[in-house]
Amino acid sequence: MPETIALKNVISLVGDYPVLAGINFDAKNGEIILLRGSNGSGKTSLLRLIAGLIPVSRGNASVLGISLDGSSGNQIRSEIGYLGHKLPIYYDLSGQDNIKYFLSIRLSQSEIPKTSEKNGNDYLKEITNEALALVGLSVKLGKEKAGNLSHGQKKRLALAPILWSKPRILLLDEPHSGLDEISRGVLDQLVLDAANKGATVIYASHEHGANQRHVTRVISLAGGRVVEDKPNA
Amino acid sequence: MLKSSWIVFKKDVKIEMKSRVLAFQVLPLAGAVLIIFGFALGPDNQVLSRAAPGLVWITILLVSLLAVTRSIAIEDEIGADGIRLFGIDPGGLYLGKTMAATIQVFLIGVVIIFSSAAIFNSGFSDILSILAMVLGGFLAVGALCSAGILFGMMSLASNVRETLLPLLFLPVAAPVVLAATKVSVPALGGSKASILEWLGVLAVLFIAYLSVGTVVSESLLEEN
Amino acid sequence: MTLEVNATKGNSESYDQIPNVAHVEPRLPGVSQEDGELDSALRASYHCRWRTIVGVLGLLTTLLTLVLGLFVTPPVQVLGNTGRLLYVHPALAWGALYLAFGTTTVASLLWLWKRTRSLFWDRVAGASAEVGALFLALTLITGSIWGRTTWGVWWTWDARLTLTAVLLVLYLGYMAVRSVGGSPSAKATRNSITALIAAVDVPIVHFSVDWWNTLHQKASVLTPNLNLRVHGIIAVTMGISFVAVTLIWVYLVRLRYENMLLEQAKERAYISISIQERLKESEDVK
Repeated sequence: MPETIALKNVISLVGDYPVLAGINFDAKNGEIILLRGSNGSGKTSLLRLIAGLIPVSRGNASVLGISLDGSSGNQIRSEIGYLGHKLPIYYDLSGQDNIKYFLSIRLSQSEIPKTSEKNGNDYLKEITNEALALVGLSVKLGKEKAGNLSHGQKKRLALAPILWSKPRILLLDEPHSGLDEISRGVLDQLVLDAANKGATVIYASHEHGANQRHVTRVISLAGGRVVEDKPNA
Repeated sequence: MLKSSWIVFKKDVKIEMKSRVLAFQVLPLAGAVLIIFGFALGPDNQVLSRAAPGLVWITILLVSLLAVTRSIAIEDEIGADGIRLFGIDPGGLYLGKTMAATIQVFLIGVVIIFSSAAIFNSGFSDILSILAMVLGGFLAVGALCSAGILFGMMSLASNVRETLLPLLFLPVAAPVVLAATKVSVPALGGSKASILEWLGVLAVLFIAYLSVGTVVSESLLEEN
Repeated sequence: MTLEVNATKGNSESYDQIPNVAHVEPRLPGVSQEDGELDSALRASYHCRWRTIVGVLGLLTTLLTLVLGLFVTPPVQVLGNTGRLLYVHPALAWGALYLAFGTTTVASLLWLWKRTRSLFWDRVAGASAEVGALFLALTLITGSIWGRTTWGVWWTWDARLTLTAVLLVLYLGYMAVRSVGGSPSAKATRNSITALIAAVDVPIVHFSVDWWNTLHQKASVLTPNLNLRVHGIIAVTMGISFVAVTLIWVYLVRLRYENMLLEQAKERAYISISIQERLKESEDVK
């Protein structure tokens, strides 16, 4: 199977601090990878590097066959879904309006909606509800101001447009934090569905033991490098 | 780019409709500033009406600064990361936000100008001067917001905020305020000398700042 | 992975010629374009001798201006002894407004233009703006002294004075932007954009304030209201003062430029050390 992510001796400097200090890492389609490590070990930075949010200062990094260097960002960005600590949500807008905004930005870049015979607004409404349903949020909740939703609901809301665009790489930073059992289950199922469809899923977590059933590989990081890489037993 | 700027514009207007920050917080603040100017200058009607155009434009400058800060704070909710991840075109983002801020500040500005004509007793002269002032006011507010949003996006991309923005913004805003004051003088009862030229200055400023901003905003967010 | 440490002399040929601070530092594995640029810039600056020559010449012309201006030239007509500011103020203004900020603007453009993109231009732009801001502040101070003795006020809201003050604030803003963090190229882009906006603003401010209020003498040294004529030894002295300001500007910009190089080399050394610390962290866990 082709490698979707290939990092070789990658150093990444943020300001003048090496958040990643020579990392080697590969990932293939359909893998669900769990990143482990203490605070400051480079979990978040690795995810951010793959998402193109921090620079590759030294070494070679290629994602989906495209080498990561300042200019390549936008070509693969639509193929990557990233959910970090900061949820990309406008708190004053309703959940629906949030999703609608991000989806219409996505659509404005691709020429796909022309194939739909319905007019743009109806189509947008339809896919917005689709995205809401995808993460299990009701239309009623979707009309609520995003700022009034619970943390778990906000997280699902933020995931909605990301999952809707079917990314080939899904990067989740501490996705379980602040979620109850049921929400975790929902989230794990979403992730599993994505992986079954061929997406590479990488998520960072410092919690041990919890919800590791689907994980295919566990990678431990320390000091901005991989210190252990083994299949999940 | 135009398509995404329209999407951004609609989003910003919608957020203001829902949150009413400018209408219910910034506008009353502007009113308070006008009244305090009145206190500071004393109750002499002649002094007040002579100073009115300048006071009005300093107030609008303050409103623009607050509106720009608010506009950038909105974007800060999703952050520079969010903007990059969703592939929002920076040029479109810039144009959309600038237009939304311009229209909002312009509406507040109209209220400020009319109420100042009343409270400073400057009154209005002929309709033509008023039209010139309104047109000039729009251009001026556009120029202020074009420059402000550009610096705002710069601070958004580089994680510096608040204090750097006004330092960069105010010197660039200085000629705008100067020209806008001149355009408002005749409408508020002063002499009409060279009003067309000042309108021209404002148009040039607006176009210059907006085009620099549009061209430059692309490269502001591309790197990290 | 191992780190290549060039701590010993002559380990790497390219490092032979570089001053100590860069020499001792461990290198990062792999060489980026920025790295190579910094190396060659450091090498070039080490071989540079002309800075000192320019500095000495600058000092000599300044002394010459001082002697001629204070002891040889007669008091200027109408202005009297205050007129001796002619040998300081115009040259400083020229250095600040045209030389320094012109250079900053051009260098910023050269960074933004992809074909000439090099961190060299960003350093030049920054160094020039810093010296320019210093000259501009001196221009304002000498101008203010002149105004006090001539018109009896320290400050007047005339066009060029206002422009100069606004410009000073613009460039202080530029320097504030330069101090904001980020990767070197992201910083350079941000700096250049700020400098360009400032440059666009200069003619605009100039035009509007000029129109707004024109009481000041015209830009030329031949001012109709004062009937001041510059000739003979006065003109020669003024000419020398311009040369002095230019030389000092070149010297200071070069000095600041080399300073920035060393700062960057130091930063790179610091990065290498932090990488080693990071590596130790991961070794410990293993």
